[in-house]
Amino acid sequence: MSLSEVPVGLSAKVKSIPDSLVGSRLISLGFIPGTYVKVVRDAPLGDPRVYLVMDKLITLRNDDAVQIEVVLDNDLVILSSAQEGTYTIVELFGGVGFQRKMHRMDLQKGKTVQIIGPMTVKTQRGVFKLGFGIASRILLRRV
Amino acid sequence: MALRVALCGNPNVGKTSLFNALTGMRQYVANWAGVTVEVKEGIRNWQGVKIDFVDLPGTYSLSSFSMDEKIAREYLLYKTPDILLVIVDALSMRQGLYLFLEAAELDTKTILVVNAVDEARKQGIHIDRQELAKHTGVPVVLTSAVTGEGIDDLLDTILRISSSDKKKLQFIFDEEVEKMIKALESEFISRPSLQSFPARWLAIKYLEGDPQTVALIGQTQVVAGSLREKIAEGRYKHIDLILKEVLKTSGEVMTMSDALDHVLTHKYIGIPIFLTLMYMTFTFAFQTIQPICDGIEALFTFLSDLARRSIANNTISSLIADGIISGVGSILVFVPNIFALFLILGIMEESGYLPRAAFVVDRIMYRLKLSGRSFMSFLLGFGCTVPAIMSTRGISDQRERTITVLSVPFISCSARLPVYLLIASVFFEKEKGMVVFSVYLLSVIVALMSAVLLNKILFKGEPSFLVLELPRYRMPKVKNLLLYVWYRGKHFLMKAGTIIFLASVILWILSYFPASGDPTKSFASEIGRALSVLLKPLGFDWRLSTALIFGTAAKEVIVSTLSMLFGFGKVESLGSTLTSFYDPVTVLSFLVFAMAYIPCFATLGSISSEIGKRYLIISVIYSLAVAYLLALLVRLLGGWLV
Repeated sequence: MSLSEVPVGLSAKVKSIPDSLVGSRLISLGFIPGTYVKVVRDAPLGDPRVYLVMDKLITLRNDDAVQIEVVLDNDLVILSSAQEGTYTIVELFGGVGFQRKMHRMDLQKGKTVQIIGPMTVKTQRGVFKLGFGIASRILLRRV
Repeated sequence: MALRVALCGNPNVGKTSLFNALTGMRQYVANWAGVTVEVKEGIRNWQGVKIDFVDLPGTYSLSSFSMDEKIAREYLLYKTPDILLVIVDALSMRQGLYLFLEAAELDTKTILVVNAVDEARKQGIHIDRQELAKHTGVPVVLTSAVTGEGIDDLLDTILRISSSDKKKLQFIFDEEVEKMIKALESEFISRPSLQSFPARWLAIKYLEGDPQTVALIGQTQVVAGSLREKIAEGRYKHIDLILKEVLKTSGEVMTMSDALDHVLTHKYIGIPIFLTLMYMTFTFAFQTIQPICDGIEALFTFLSDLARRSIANNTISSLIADGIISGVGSILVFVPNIFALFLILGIMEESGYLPRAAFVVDRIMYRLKLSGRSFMSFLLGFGCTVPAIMSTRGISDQRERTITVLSVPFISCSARLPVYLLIASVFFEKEKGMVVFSVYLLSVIVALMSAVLLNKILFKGEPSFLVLELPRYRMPKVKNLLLYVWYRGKHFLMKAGTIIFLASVILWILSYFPASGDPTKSFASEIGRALSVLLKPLGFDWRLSTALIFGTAAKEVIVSTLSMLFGFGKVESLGSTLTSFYDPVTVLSFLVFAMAYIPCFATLGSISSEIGKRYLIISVIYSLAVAYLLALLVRLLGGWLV
């Protein structure tokens, strides 16, 4: 996945940097394969976002961040790109309103859910087809 | 002989504060070797030795990817200082040490300065100076530019190291990397053209794929840039090993910075806060400070009256009163606005808000291939174009800065308002507000479209790339603010001052001769008559053309010129005469032309001093073309509609 897809609050390990001048600049800022980058916050209009790289807060536009390949820790996956199978919910990235809305579908931290199709989740309340915006804010761990 | 000491470091490490603490008021801006780039220098006498400090732009590495990096690196390579200070921030040492490891390979006597130690201490971070010196192989000084801690120590260390021998520093990479470096090194040493550069440094830069180094060396047996990531990894591995011995941390603290960021870059209130702060800046720089401007204006009116009354010779008294005093006055009247604006900009930059502001609105500007940094310059353009252009100094990307400087003049500054008001109230009494608003709106659209257009023409295909660092918030220091305002404001006084001064004398000559002050028979009106041939398609006669010529001095002069040309001293009686001379479509196209055409002399002066004389000419031609096209469009559309 690319760095621009990592939800706010989560860290990811850099896998590769584009082979370009932009890539070289990113390297001198500390975006180096093997190091962890944390997504700190996003701008009011969603772009750019702030990343914690080594010891500094660096902003990147999503168009640039999309070129940075990253991996999440083992077993962790964002719902939007999860394959079919059983998962536990690790984190829901969103405010109170978002949490409440998820709660209604029985999507809560620690619950076990089943993915039965692309962005389609089965909980104890039923089967829900989620939009990309919501699905990309739910972090799962494969069971 | 003075000892030359250069300061380099990441942006936002407090390098400039440290430079201020080292040199105080003994600073000056030096133009360096032909390039239009300025390097700040300052002198300090310490223990009887004269030390010349040079403040290089902040960089993350010594590659040649950005303008700032190029300047810092060229300085270090071609004008190698006696001693190099690498300044790192105590709270973000890793990226700082990365630059240090690069700089250390340059074969210059180096001192590692760890700044902001007071802040580190507050956060429970202890830095072991001896260990750091042991592992890096250079003297280490811990400083705080804010409290003044360690400054004397730094000066002592500079003197001590200046008389000691140079030590060769090297940081050994992995075997694989080292082998390649060695191979290249021996190849470079045999080339006479590369003798003046440190061979190992060149080899590393080549393997990193640094564009300028690759261009300098050309092809070798090894692919350029092939070890880009390996080298960076090696450096950071080394840094982590060093820091493990050097840093002692006692728990993490939730800092003030995080809390402030939560509010100032907040999803919903971030933009409203930004706009409020902009509004306050605007009000402060153009309203709060206005009485001082009015005072200056009154003073100059008084002086020119005095000159007129006390000098018997008509020509000389006019030259002094109307030419020189009014000319100089028209510059000095801007000074309070500019200083006020730089004071606010200084506060925003020193406190760390400026990059956040850019971050918050970047999305909007990105569409236009600009970044958040230029938003502010456009906004300030509504007040006065001159300080707006000067505020582009904060834009680090040269491409974006050029585009902003050339597009900001289209934004309707306050001097254009009298022209709009005159025309609108005479011809469009009922829709007055609507007309003025439309012209303002048009000016915004033209400015933004101009940015897109220039991007396409001048910088076709160049990628726009934005990285901002969000530094910690800091309390601005009065001394730093005063220096900030003074060194930027002084520039305006000197450079734009001389240009406007000269231009206003020339304009006076054109308007005074040969008819000794009768504007309808002056050279300027002759030019106006000649020009009206060109402007005929727009429906402008020689009077409007002449008014436009005078308007280049300052746009509000268009109003007074018109009243002069129609033979009235008073602006009030101008209305009825104008309506009998021109139809609404003509004045509307005149209005649009007045909005977009040649920026005033003060603006041209600052364009030239900010981005070069070449762009002054480009700006004149460009704005005339845009104005002509727009006015023609209004004329054609108007003729078709009416």
